[in-house]
Amino acid sequence: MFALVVAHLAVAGLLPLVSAHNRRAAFLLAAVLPAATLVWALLNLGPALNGGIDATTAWAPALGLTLSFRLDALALAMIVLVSGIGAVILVYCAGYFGDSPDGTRNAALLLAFAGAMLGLVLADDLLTLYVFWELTSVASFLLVGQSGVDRAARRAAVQALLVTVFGGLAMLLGFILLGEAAGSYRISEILASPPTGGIVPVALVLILLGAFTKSAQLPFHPWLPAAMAAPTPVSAYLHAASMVKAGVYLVARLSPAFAGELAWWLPIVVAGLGTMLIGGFRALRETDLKRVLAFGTVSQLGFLMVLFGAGSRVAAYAGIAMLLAHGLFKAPLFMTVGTIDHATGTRDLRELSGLWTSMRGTAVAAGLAALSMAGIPPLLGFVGKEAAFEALLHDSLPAALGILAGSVLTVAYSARFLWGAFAAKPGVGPTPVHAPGPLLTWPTWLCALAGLVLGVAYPLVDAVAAPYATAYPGEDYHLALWHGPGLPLLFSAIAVVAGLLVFRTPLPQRRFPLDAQRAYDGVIAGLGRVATGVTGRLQVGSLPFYLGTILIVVVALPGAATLVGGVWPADQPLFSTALQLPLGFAAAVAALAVVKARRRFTAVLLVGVIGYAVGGLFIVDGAPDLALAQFLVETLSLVVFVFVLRRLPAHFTEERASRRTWIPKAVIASIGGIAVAGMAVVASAGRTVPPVASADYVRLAPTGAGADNVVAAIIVDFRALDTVGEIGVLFIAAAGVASLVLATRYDRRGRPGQSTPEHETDVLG
Amino acid sequence: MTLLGGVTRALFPTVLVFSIYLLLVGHYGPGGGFAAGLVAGLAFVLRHLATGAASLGVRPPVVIGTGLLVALLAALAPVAFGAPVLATTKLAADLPLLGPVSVQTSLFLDVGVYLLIVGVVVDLLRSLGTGIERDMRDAGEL
Repeated sequence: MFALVVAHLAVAGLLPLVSAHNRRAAFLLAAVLPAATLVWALLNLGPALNGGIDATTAWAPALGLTLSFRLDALALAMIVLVSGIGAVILVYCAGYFGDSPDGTRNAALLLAFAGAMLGLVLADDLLTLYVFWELTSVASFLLVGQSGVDRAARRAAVQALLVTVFGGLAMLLGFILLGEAAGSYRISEILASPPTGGIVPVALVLILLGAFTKSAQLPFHPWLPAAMAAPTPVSAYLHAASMVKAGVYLVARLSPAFAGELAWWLPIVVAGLGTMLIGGFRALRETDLKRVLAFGTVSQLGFLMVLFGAGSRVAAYAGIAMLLAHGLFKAPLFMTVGTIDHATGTRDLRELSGLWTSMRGTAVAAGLAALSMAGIPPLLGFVGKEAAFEALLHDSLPAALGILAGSVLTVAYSARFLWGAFAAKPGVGPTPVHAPGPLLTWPTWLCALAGLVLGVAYPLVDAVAAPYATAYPGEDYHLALWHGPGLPLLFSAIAVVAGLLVFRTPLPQRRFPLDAQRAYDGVIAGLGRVATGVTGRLQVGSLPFYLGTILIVVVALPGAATLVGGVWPADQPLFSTALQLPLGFAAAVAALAVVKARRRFTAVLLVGVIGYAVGGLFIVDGAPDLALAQFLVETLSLVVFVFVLRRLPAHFTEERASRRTWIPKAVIASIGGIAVAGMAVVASAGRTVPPVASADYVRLAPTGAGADNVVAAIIVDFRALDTVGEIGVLFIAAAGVASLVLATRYDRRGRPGQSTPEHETDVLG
Repeated sequence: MTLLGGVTRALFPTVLVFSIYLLLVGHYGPGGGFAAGLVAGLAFVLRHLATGAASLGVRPPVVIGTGLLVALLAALAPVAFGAPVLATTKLAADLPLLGPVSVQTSLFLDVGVYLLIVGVVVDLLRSLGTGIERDMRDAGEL
């Protein structure tokens, strides 16, 4: 299974080579792999439904990390959406993007996303799942932002990334808490023996944050309508059929174990119902067909959340049926919008008119899909909704009434979509149309018909849902088109009739007082203000202020800790060798002289004297490696200082500092110096047992590292990872110095426009 | 030619050879990649002071990057032989003329450190030495 996921990513990496010759062919080639994945999954249908298939690949065994995958009923249902609809949409892309240069990027990114999403739904390990989860967020960011030229697209991409990654990080924390509480990160093992009590509710709430942000639940939903800035096939695939279902999928995955926990089901049901109602309501007020569908998706995601969070067997059946139904009706509806956009050049339902006659084929396919969305028999949407009413009427009447209200809105915006897209409107002339090609219409038809076929052939869906649903308590149930007269059928009828009535009623055009998008904007702007404020307070541009701040913190925190917890050594000798006396004396005299120095050059030389004296102390104490490094660094710093001094005035500030400035400076400096010296003495006495590590280093250096020099053995062998990290830091520091020194001269000269290329050549040498 | 120029001409290669010696001896006595790199860097500083040339023949960022790359490859190479990252071993060979020679593979990591440090020092010369000189010339101070 890992090979299959990697194959997606590898082929995605090679696709630009194909795109260079033929962009259309690249999409068709990209569609092969998801299609093959679907075939592979269907060939493994038997074993997948009877217990599931496991596959594990070692990742970092020393850290206990494995890449674990598992194909079971829920994963199979998701693969139908991820790979099945993915393949169809990639074919549609060939028609939608045609030969436009955007095709190169989109073909590779969409296939890479398909791979990441496949990894996500197959993952049987919390950390594996997390890796693929974030990969899909990154793919979404790139696909929404596109070339980065359009400002709205960039903002939407950043919003999608910030919101989903914020949730993702919270989720990672939750995963770690859950994994530690369960003693295993394998999802199947956690489900088999779920941990309880203690930290578990906190972990669950954190995980739900991830699921809610990813699946655009209240109050995180605005990123999804904003992401409609992406090209329509991207919206159809990522923001309708697959990626936004990741949160629903995660809830569905973990619910069998945690549906009984209050911290799990209560937020899900409350947020889910709220999302379903708000999304449906907002969908009725939009005029862009794509945003109508986007809010419809938000609404349906809330519905799915409620079904999977409810935790009963019937609800699970309904959840799987609605999961499949939603993918199969929302993808063709988005593709319809793309086709209309392509054929007429607009998506505004106030401008479109008369498409029912000019685009009959597309209209019928879209009608089929919209009927499924509205829950009309014999489509799959009806099968799912029947089961949902049945489940919630049994579990909780308020939730059932909430779902009924949501369904009324669903019917209303379904009707509004069909009317807006295809009806002939009074006062608007028929929109001119150029006929869409078969690459645009056939994929739409395929998905819409699948919704009809699976609705009639409901036992197939039932067979996939059954192994998943049996994990829940409750009486047995089977999906069907006809359950006989009863409350669920009555609810379905009420939803249709009331929905049509709502559609006919003009809505009050009042602005909703609470707007989540404005809340998001406020949070981002607030972050910016806080950052500006803090930076303004701390970065005042005065070196004495910076130094003073650092010293005060050193005295206040580690200094206070030393005073409280440290012990002054009883046998602290003043010196151990006579040679230390002249060296220490030289350092002290130089330090005092620095304070009195008037010329910068003198001060630099005196600081050099201190450095060399310390190097001498290292030699006296028998540390030649340290001394060598100290001498070399000291020499180099002197040279660097001299270079820089050429640009600075020869003398320090001439006018005498006032008493008010120099007394506080002197006090802070003295206290800082005394505190550091005191801490050094206390720390050197802190060791109470002989150092085990040092003895081991000395013992192992000749045999383990082949070195006579223990210091070298530590640097390049025992603690080599530190060395690699440190040279990495040096690398960054060097790049920073070069950019600061070389790049700023152009900014100073103030020649905007020319600066970038010139300073880049300078920095790179 | 100034006196400093003449001395530099003699010292520059000598100091570079000494830095290679420090690099190789680091495993057995004081030295190592860091110290050796600094010594080689100081040789370049000397040449810069004498002749004003800071050039290395290649661009300093390339040297820095090469150093980091060598260190990372040296860190990851053991994985190809089934050992953990950063593991080391002794390579011994009987070379003609030289006789038996052995080297600890951690030397390669040290070579990376050496290159990186040399690159950093030359980069400093370029930005703070030559760069500031050009700034001063532009400002009419030189």
